[in-house]
Amino acid sequence: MRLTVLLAPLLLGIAPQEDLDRRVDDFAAKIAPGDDGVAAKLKEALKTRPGKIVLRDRAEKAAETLRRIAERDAVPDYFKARFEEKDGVFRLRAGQEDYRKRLLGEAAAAKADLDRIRPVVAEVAESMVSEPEINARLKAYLSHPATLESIYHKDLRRQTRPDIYVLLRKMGEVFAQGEDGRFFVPEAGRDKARLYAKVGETVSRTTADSAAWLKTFFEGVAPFDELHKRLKADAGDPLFSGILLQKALQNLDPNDVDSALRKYEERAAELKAKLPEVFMDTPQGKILSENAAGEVQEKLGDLDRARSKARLLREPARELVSRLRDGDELNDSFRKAFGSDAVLALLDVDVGGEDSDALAIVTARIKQALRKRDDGKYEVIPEVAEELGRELKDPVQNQAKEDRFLRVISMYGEKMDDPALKAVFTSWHGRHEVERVAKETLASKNPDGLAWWIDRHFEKGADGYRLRPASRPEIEAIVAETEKLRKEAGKNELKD
Amino acid sequence: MSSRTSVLFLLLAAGAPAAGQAPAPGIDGILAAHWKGAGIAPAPLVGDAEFLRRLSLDLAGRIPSKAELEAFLRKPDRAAKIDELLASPEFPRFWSEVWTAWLNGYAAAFDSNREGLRFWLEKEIREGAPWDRIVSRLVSASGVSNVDGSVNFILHNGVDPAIKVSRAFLGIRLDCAKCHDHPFDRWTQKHFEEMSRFFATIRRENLTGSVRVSDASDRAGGPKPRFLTGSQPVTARWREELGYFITESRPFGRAFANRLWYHFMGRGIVDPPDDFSLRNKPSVPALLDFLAAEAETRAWDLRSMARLICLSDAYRRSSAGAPRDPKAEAAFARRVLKPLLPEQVIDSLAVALDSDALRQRRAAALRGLLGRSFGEDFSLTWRHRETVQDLMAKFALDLPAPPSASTEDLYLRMLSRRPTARERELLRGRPAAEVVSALAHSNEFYFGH
Amino acid sequence: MMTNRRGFLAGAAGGFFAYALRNGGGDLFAQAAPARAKRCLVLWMDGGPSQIDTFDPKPGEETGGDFKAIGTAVPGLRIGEPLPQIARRMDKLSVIRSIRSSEGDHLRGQYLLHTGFPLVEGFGRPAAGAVVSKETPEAKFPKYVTLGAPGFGPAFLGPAHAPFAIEEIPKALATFRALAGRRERIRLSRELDREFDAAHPSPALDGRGETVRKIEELLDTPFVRALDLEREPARERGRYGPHPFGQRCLAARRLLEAGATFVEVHLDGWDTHVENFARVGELCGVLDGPWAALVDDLDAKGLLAETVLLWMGEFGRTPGINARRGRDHYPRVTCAVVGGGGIPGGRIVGETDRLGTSVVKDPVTVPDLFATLFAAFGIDPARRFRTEFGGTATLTDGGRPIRALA
Repeated sequence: MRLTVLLAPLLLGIAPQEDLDRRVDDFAAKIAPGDDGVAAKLKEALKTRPGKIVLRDRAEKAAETLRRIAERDAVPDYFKARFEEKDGVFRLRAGQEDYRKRLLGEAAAAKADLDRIRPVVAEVAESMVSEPEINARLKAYLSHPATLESIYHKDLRRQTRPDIYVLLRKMGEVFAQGEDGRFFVPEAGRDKARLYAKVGETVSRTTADSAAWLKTFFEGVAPFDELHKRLKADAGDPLFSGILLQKALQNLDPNDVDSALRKYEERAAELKAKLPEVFMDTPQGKILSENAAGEVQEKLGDLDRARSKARLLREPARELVSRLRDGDELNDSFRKAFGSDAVLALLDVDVGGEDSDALAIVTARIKQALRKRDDGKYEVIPEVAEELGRELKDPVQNQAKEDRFLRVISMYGEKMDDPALKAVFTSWHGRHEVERVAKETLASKNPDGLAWWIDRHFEKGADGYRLRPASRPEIEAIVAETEKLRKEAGKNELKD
Repeated sequence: MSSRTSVLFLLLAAGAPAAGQAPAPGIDGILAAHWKGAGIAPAPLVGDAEFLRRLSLDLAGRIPSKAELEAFLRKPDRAAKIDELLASPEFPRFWSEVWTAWLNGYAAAFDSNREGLRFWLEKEIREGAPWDRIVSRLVSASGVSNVDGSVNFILHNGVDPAIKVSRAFLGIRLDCAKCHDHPFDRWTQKHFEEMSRFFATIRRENLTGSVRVSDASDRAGGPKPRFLTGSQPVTARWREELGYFITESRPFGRAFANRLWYHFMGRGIVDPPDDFSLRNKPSVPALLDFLAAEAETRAWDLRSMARLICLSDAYRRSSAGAPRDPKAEAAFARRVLKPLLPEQVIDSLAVALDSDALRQRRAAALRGLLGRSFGEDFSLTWRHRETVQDLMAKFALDLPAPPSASTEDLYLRMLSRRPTARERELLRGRPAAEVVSALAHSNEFYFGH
Repeated sequence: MMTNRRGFLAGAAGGFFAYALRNGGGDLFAQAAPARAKRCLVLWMDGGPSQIDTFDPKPGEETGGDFKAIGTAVPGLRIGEPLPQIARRMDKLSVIRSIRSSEGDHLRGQYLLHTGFPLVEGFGRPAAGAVVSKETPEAKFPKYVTLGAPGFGPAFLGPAHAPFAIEEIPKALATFRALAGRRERIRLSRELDREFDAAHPSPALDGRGETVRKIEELLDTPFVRALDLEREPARERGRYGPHPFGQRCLAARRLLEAGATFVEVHLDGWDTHVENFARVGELCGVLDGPWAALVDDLDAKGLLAETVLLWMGEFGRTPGINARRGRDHYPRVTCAVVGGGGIPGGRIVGETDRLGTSVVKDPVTVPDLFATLFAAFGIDPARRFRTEFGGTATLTDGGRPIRALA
C-alpha cells in the first residue's frame, strides 16, 4: 500500500553516480543522533567510501524492486494516466483529445493494412498440409488471430509507418530522452548538434532559393511532353532542388562540414549558371536537349522516392521537435531544418519505396518459408524447417499468453463509455498499443531507490532523520558490512 | 580520501611544499643518490626557452607562442607559468584528449560515444577531480551513453574489460592470461577469470540511439570475483567495489605516478608504462615509491602532482648529448625524445602560424594525420610507430600561409629559438613558405626534446 | 609453484617441446611445399558477396534468385550468369564452395578473412599481406599494398610490414607529386636537422630518418610510375574499364609487375540486404571485365604461375531471400575463388546442398584457406613468431592446406 503511494514522486528521481554521493552526504549530515550509538555509527560510516558503496547496494536493490513493481503496474498505470474511473465507467480525461485522435488514426491505418494481409495469410494457412510436424505448428501459428497483429505491431509497423524512434536510432548522439519523456541535447553532443543544425539550415535555405529561381525558369519551358509537363509542375518543389544538389553532400565528412556546405552552395550556383545550357530554344519555349532527358528522367525517379521518404518522416520529425525541452537555442534551428523536405530526404534513415508496403513484406516472408506443392498445397521448405522450428518455439504457449493479455486489456475496454475507444481496447490493437507505450514509459524511468530506502528506515523530523526502531538490525548490518569492506580493501598489495 | 591517508596527510602537511614554491627535494635528491651509486653523470639543465616549450607541450598540448616566449624570457618565473597553464582551459582539454585516446583509442566502436567520454573527462579535470575518483567512476560507471559520458569507457572496452582496466589503471597486462597462464609473469588464467567476474553484473540495454549501462544485483551470484590483491566483494555492487579496491591498492598509486612521469619525461620509471611485470623492473625504484607516496599524500590531485614534477630539476634535464646512453636515459640523467601526439602537432602549427583556419579544420587535420589503418591503437602499444604513410601524410599537410617573412621570426614562432649562423646561411634567399615548410617537417619541431 | 613453471619453460628444450606438443607439434616437422608463388593479388569483395548469385548457383530452386547459371571453360562447372567473362577463364581458377565460418559480423568477419584468426582483444594478428611481406625477400618497394581501403595491420610483425594503403589512386598520385615537388623542402628539413640529430642520438630519430629515406626511395622507385595509369597504353587501359575498381585492378597488376608482393584490391557494396539482384548484377558488371583482364594479362606475361589470385569477402549470404529482395549474412556457407601461383585451376572444392543452406561435402575452414595460401609461397603454416610481449603466435589457427588443391 505504502509503496504505490510513494511510487509517483519517486519515479521522477534521477540518480547518476555523482549526484548520489552528494545525496548520501546530505542525508548523513541530517541523521539525528539516536539514543543508542547505532545512528551515530551509520553517520560515520556514510562519510567513507565503503559506507557509500554499501548504502548504494541497498538503494539499487530497492530500485530494482521498484522497477519490478512499476512493470507490474504498467498496465493499470497506462489507463490511470489517460482515463478517469467513476462508478465503474472509464472516461477519457480532459486534455487527452490528441491522444485519442492519434490512437484512432493508428488503429484505422493498421486495420487497413491488416485487412489486406489477412485474407492472403488465411488462404495460405488453410492450404497448408499438416505433415510433418513443423507444418502443423506453422499452420496453427498463422491461423491464430493474434499472430498477424503481433507481427504487424512488433515488426511491420516500424517499416511502414516510422515513428520518432526511427529517427532517434541514428541521432542518438544529439538527442537524449529525459525522465519527463521530453528530448534534450546532451552537453557532450552540443557541438555535433550545432553541426546538424548548420547542415539543415544550409540545405533548407539553399533548396528554397533554388526552387524559387527554378520555378521562374521553368515558366519559360514548353509543355513539350509528359516529362516537360512534370518538370514544370515539380520545378518549384525545394525537394527537387535537393535531389539535384545532393551529390555535393555525398560522403559528408563530419570533420569538415564547412567545406562540404560551401561545395553545396557552389553547386547550387553552378546549377543556376549551367542549367540553361541543356535547353534549346523553340518557338513555343525551351525544351530539354536529348541527352539530358535521360538523366532528368532518372532524377524524377529519385524525386518520387525522396517524396515518399519525406512524407513518412514528416510526422515523426515534427513530433520530435515538439517534444524538445524548452529553452534550448538550437530548438528553432531544428524546427526549421526538419520542416524542410529536402533535409528529411537526406536523413540516414531507410524508409520509403516499395519496402514500405506491408503486404509486399509479408508475401516475401511467406515465400522464404513456404513453397507450393504440385497439388496446390503449401508446405514448409524442408531446408528451413530446422531454423523455423527454433523460431516458432512454442506457439501454443505464446498464444495462451496473448489471449490472456488481451483479456486483461479488454477488462478496461469493456468499461469505457466511448464506443470507438471501447472497440480499440477490446481488440488486438489496444493490447499492442498498451504494451508498446508501457515499455517506452518504463525505459525512461529510473526509480529512486535511495529515497525509498531512506523513507523506509528513517522518519523525517524537525531535528533530522530519526531511525525507526524496527530498522535497527538493518543499520547494524550496514555498519558491519562497511567495516568488512574496509578491511577487504586493506589487502592492497599484489599477491603471488 | 580514505581515513588511512588522511592521517598521513596531516602529518606531512607541515612538511609539504606550498604550491609553487621551492623545487621538490625528493625527486632530485633520490635521483642524485641513484646517479652517484651508478656512476652516472647527469646532463646539464636546459634553458628557459626549452623549458617553456616542454611545459607548454605537456600541459597545454602546444608550443608557446612567440609572445609567450618573449614574456617568459623577460621574467622566467617557472612556478608562476606552471600555475598559469594549469589554470587555463587548455589543460583540461588537452589532457582529456590524451586520456580518451589512451582509454578508447581513436575509433568509435560498440556504440560507444567517444566525444561523450572526452567531454566528461574534460569536465572532471577542469573541476579538479582527483584521479581516484575519476578511475572509480570510469570502472563503475552506469547511465546512458549519450548523457553520462563516463559509461563510454566500459562500453568501448566491453569485450574484456578486465584487460583494459588492469592495463590502464594498474599498469598490469593480463592479456595473455586470458588464454593460458602467463609464460613468465605471475598471472594465471585463474587471476584473469576472477578479475573478469567483477564485470559479470553489467547489463547493456540498447535504447534508441544510445545504450544504457547498469548493474543487476541478481547477477551478483555464484562464485565471487577476486581482485589481484585477493580482495573480494562484500555487497552486490561488484563494479563499485572493484573501483574501490583498485584505488586503494598500491599498484594503483604506482601506475598513476608512473603514467604521469611518462607523460612529462617521455619515459616511465617502468617502461612501457602499462607493463609492470616481474620481468620489467622500475629503473629507479626509490623514485617510483616516492612519487607513489606523494600522489597518495596529495590525494591524487593532478595539478599538484604536475607541479611537483614540473618544478623538479629532473624535468629540466637536457636531451642533448652524444653518444647515446641508454643507462643515463633510464636513470633520467638525460631526457629522451618523445614524438609529438597528432593533437600537439596540429595545435602547435596553429599557434606558430597564427592560423584560425587550421583551428577550424582541426578535426579534419587530425584525421589526415592519423590515417585510418585498422589496428593502430595508441593505447595498446603506447608508442605510435610511424609508418611510411604516416610520415607522408605529415609531409603532405597543407600548411597555412606564413605569418611573416623574417627567418628569425619564424624560428622563434616554430622552434622557440633564434636561428644559428649556419641555418641563416642555409635559408638565405628562400621564400618564407619554404622556410615554414622546412621547419614544420624538421625533427626539432616534431619531437619533444 | 610459480618458479617451477617458469623454470620448466625456461629450459629451452623441455619448454619448446611441451608447447609444441600441446599445439599439434607434428606440423612443425612437416616439409613445407616448394615455393612457387612470388606474389599475391586479393580481390576483396567488401560486405559479403552472395555466393548463390556468383559461384554457387542454384538454378530453378526457390533460393536460386533471378540469375541463371552459365557454363564455364570447365565441364561440369556452372557459375552465375553475371560473370560471363570469368566463366570463360575458370580453367585457371578453382572455386571453393564449402568454407564454413561462424563470424557473421562485418568487422569480425573481415578480421577473420584477413588474418585467419578470430578477433581477440589484446592479441592482434597480422594480416596475410603482412605475413607474405615478412616472409618474402626484402625490397626497396612497399610490398604489401591495399587499393581502395585502409587495410589490416601487421600486428606483431612490426610497422615495416604495415600495408601501404591507397584509398584513391588519383589522390595518392597527387600526394606523391606534391611530395616530389616538396623534396627540396624535405631535403632542406633533413639538412637543418643535421645538428639536432647529431646532438640527440635516439632510436626514434633513427626510425624517422629511415622512414624519410624510404619515402625518398619511393619517389624514385617504379612504385609511383606503377600507379600512374596514364603510362599504360589507352587500349590496355580500356580493357579494365573506367570504373575505379577496374582502375585499381590495373594499378594492382602494374604494382605486382614492378615489385609489390601482396596487393589487395577492394570492391565495396556487396552487403546486399536490399535489392540483392540489382546490386549484384551491377557489381558483377564492374568485377567481370577487369578480373578477366587480370587473368589474361598475368597469363600473357608469364606471371600467372607465380601469382596467386584470390577472390573472397567476409562471409556468404543467405539462400533465403528477404522481404526487400535481399540476402542477409550467412557465414556458414562462404565462397572463395583461388588460382595461379601454383594453385591449380578448374577444380571445384566442396559442395552445398540443393538449396545452398549448408555445406555437405569437404568443409573448409578459414585457417585452411590461409594455410593453402601460405603453402603456395612455401611458408610453413605452423610457423611460429615471437610477439612483442614475449608470447609466441602461429601463422594460422590450426589450418591445413586444402587437399583438393594440392
